Amino acid sequence: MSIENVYNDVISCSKCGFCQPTCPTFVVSGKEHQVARGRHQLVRGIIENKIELTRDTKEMIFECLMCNACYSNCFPSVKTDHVIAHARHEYIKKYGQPALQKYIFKHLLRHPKELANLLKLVSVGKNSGLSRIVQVFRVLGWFGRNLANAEQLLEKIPFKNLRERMGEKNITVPNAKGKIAYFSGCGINYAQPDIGEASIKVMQNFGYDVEILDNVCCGLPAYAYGDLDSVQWFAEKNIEILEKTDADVIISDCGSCSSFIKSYAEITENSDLKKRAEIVAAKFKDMTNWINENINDVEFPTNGRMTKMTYHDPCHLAHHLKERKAPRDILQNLSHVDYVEMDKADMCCGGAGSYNIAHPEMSFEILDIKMDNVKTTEADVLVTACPACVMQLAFGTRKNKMPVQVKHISQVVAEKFK
Amino acid sequence: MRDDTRALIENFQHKHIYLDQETCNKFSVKNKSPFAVIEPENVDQIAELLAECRNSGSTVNIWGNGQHQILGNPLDRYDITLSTRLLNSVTEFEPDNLTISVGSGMTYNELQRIVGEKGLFLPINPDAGDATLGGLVSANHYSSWIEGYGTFRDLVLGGRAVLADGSKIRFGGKTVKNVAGYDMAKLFIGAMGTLGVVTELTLKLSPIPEIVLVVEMDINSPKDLLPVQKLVNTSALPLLAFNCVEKEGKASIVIECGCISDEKAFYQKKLEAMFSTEKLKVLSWDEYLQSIQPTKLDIEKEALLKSIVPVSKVADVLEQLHNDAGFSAQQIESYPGKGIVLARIDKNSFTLETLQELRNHAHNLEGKFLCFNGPDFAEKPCDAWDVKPDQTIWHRKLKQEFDPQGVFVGGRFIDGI
Amino acid sequence: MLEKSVLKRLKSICGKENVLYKDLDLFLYGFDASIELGKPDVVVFPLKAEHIKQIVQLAVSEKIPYIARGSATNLCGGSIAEKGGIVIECSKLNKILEIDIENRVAVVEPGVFNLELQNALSKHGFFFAPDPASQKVSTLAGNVAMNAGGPHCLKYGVTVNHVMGLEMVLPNGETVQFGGKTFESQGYDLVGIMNGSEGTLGIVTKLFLHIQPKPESLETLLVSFNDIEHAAQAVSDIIARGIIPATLEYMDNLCIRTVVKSLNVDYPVDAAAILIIEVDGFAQNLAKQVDVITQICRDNHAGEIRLAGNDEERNALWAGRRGALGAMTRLNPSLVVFDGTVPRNQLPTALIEIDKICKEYDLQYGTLLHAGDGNIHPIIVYDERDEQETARVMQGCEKIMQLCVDLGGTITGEHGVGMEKRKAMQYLFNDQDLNAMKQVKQVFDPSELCNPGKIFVQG
Repeated sequence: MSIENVYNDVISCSKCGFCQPTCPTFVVSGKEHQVARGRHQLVRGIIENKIELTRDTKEMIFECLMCNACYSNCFPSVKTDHVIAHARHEYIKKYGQPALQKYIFKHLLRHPKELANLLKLVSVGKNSGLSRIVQVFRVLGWFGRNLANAEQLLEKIPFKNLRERMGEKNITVPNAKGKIAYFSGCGINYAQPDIGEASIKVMQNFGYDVEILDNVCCGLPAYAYGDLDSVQWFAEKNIEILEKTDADVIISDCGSCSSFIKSYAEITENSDLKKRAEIVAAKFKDMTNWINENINDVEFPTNGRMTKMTYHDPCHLAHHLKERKAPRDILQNLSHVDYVEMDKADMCCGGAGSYNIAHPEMSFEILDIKMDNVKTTEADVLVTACPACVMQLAFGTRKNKMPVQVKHISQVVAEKFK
Repeated sequence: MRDDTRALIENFQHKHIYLDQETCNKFSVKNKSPFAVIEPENVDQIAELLAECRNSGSTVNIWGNGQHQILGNPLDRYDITLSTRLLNSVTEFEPDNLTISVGSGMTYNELQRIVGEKGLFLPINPDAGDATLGGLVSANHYSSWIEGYGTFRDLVLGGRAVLADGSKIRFGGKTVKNVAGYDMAKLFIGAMGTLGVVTELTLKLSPIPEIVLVVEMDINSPKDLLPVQKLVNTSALPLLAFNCVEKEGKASIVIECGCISDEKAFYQKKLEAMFSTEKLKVLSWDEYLQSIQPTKLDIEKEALLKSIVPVSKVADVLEQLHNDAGFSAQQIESYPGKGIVLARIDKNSFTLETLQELRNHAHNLEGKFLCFNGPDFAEKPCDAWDVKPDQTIWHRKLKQEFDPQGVFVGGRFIDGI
Repeated sequence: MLEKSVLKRLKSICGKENVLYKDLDLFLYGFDASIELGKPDVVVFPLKAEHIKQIVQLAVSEKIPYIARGSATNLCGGSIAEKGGIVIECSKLNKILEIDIENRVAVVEPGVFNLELQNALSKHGFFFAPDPASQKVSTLAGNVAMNAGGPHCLKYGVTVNHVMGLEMVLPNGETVQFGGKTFESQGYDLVGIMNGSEGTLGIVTKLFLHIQPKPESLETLLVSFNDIEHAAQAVSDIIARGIIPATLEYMDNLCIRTVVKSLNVDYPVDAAAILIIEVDGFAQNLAKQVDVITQICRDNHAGEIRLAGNDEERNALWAGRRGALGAMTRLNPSLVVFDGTVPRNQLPTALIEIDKICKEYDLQYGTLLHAGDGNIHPIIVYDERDEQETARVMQGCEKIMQLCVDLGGTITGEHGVGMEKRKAMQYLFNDQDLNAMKQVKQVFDPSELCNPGKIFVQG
């Protein structure tokens, strides 16, 4: 793994600048080093030895949200997240990986049981090493931004994670139409099991058996911090697990997990693994996509109250997977939903995994733009399709004292079966 | 005759030179006559003439057909008339490309005849008549078709000129899209011949509309204009012209649209519905041209007042013109789509105070008020132009750079340039 | 290198956080969308017009070059600090000050994106006609500086035709407003001369733009031809009939094949050329125009004629054209788009000759045209890491510009001269012509500090 790997990508950047209005960090700062074009030229400068990879470059390399909004507007289709991940990799190769990140990516996330137990200790407040765990979550960024307050954090870590709540690994329904393998992302499993429950409920009500997979982290957090070696481990491990299921389709209700798993083939260098990754990717679907494909086969109860809803595009769905249509189709077709489109719906909310923790000021400003756009719609419910967005947006509504509920699209659909 | 001028004439051996009083008087401007009238055949002769003028310190007034000579302030010293009459050939006509390049001395009517044969026209109104294209461009002439086609600013693609220092330059090109260097054409349009002698022009032509639809509505007061103006200004009609004409105490709004024959029925219905009228004329191009009766300014009697304001203020200007005591307009024509009001006024019917009042009123509306061919106010002459001092500096600097010796006759233009 | 005192003054004018001067920051302000490079000494972000005035006054008194910059999307090196100096980045002056529907004027700050204004106007049923391909990101002052074109030029004209007034800081350090909310019609057309002056005569601080009502509806056709002559003739015939399409885009066979392959669009791969014709106007009237256009195309031996029935089909017709540049870059990472323009009737000759030139220099290319304006975009793809290939590309481009001039056209129709085409200016203009332009520069910027070195070859 070397930064040279992305030389072709950055050469392709024609410096047209079309990324500027789409890049949230540029919209906030207006500066060339906070937009894809500048970042590409920086990386190119480093590769061509015109610029030294000094500690001064750290901010430029690490301030990218990796939302890939630029990619959606890039005619040579330069994948900025790919470029940035390699730049970060090069940076930690040179300056070393922080011990905490090493612990998380090389140990904790590779041992889900240990992670689960640790969280349980935090949850019941018996843990002497609390501060360390808080830091873990800072890095993983599952809990919004009020982290300075450990009390608040404690309230929010559910004692039982999703797998424990469900108990059974295999959930069956009578006369099942088929079987779904459910990939439970960390954000869902440990922090937002409610969403996972809703997704499983939707699958059941749609008439499918569900197998909850024993997957590990998808690897995206490691990718985002430039730990590309760990990414290989997560990819290989998950491919192994996903290959084993006999389900017809594998689904995640986390847009980030879905898109990252579908991109394993691009990330891995091993040609055998690449092939296996492609087979897995073909079976893998994001929840929004699956719901939309199957929603017409299901009868919904027709009662309900009219609710005004708007939709925020998670970056990984909109910009990486190019899935904008499915969630809108779902909301527009559900009864008693008055769907209203918000301005700049596909602009990042500033959550971006743990970005909000690492760069709170920038994240705040980006969130404010999002909240202003939500306000203008006068929607009662803000719908999205990624647990990290749910947390960031919920934080935004609390902070701005907005009477808006934030929901995952699975929750919106599941509620129809109440 | 001044000695230096005499010397110049002796040095300038040109066959088209006229020194007789009778000819010279034909080229007088506000009672000032030249000593000589010269009709160069080509740019080399022009450059030669200008060199002689520089040497002798004589001044040159460029003359097409004289229509626009009354515009602006009185001339300073006026020695020689440079007539562009002989620069009247077609250099290149490319109907497929909708462009024509012609000598600046070609008359408007002649140009329209040539391009008309190919179903094209230069969209500058027919009241231009015998005026030369050089004159029209130098005076930035426009009238009601401004609504549909703009002004020479939008129609001159390029050309050639001879500058005061004798350099023969080419500017612009033959294509609408052209961003190679500064757009020098913009300097010559409306420059009143103060920067150089325009010798050739490349113009953008338009296909002649197959059908013209004309709606005419009488109005009782300028206020009646407002609702129509709002309707027209927010519709995407294929307008040729949108004007409001007051003549002999009667005022009417005229809306003219051009289209191809296939569209006739549609626009007929559309216009009838928009203006709830059935008084709609459907004309062929020739019929339409015949229906336009150009009236020329009576130089002896009339002054031309020109007010340019934000478009929504046209009615205000019209009211102000009416309210001003002692004011009798022969004709007021306005283009509400562009914020322009042109009034022909009896020269002797207004005072400097009236004019100052109108000018102040226009300024309050963020507009301008110009007065051409006005009466001579003895004690304090009135400036024909209406340009703010911070802009006149730049006019003067440009003039100084391009014509430091003042070869082209001064006095007439902004700030006495 | 700048003196510390200058840096201090700049910080006191715009605030510390709005001045960039570290090497690393400056490196990232050393480019625009062309292949030219040049590093400034400092980048400042003025927050109001008054700041620009103070910066210019400082620059002039210290004899430091200064360059206004918007989104730096220009394709000719127009906003590169070739001689160092102060880059005045206007992106924070990005407010729409007024939309005055009654007077059909929009008043904006220089850093407003073109599309942002369009979106704001759209709510009132109005639009600003110039729509360069970069409209999403290019600033309106940038559009004025380059006198930007765009696909809608044929019907609506270029930027200069829609600019009513400009407030500027001139190189003498004074602020002056040329034109305004009224139609300007006296004196030298100073607003006109500023358009397309590439920021070499002063810095725009406020714009008064003419806006107009949006057409009610549009229709889009895709027409294929088996030879370029007939395609070109069809274009001329449509215009001659008196129908001015809103857009008239041409794509050659190489481009067609490339987009079909990489974008999976449904274009006729065997056609020598396709035209995408869009007409706008009143919905009920457009069918008539479509009939006339269809007939003209048939008369010119058109192959397939497709009419989009709805927005989805319209997008499908446009997909290949919109994605063409991207598709081309998949063949080779670097790309250069030239914008020579020829009289419309010279298009077939130009295309044949361009093909010869590209073969001679072994260049991989495809051609797009704004056919109505004779504006040719040969898109040449190469790898800029290959010095020999890059040199061949540059030579080929010079030849193409020369060709356009020989055919009675111009070296640049909409991208500008900047650094990239200043040598080629000599193909088009002789010394006397160029001197006259330099005299204009002399009038406004006698000390030659305002975006120095652009448009003209120095010395």
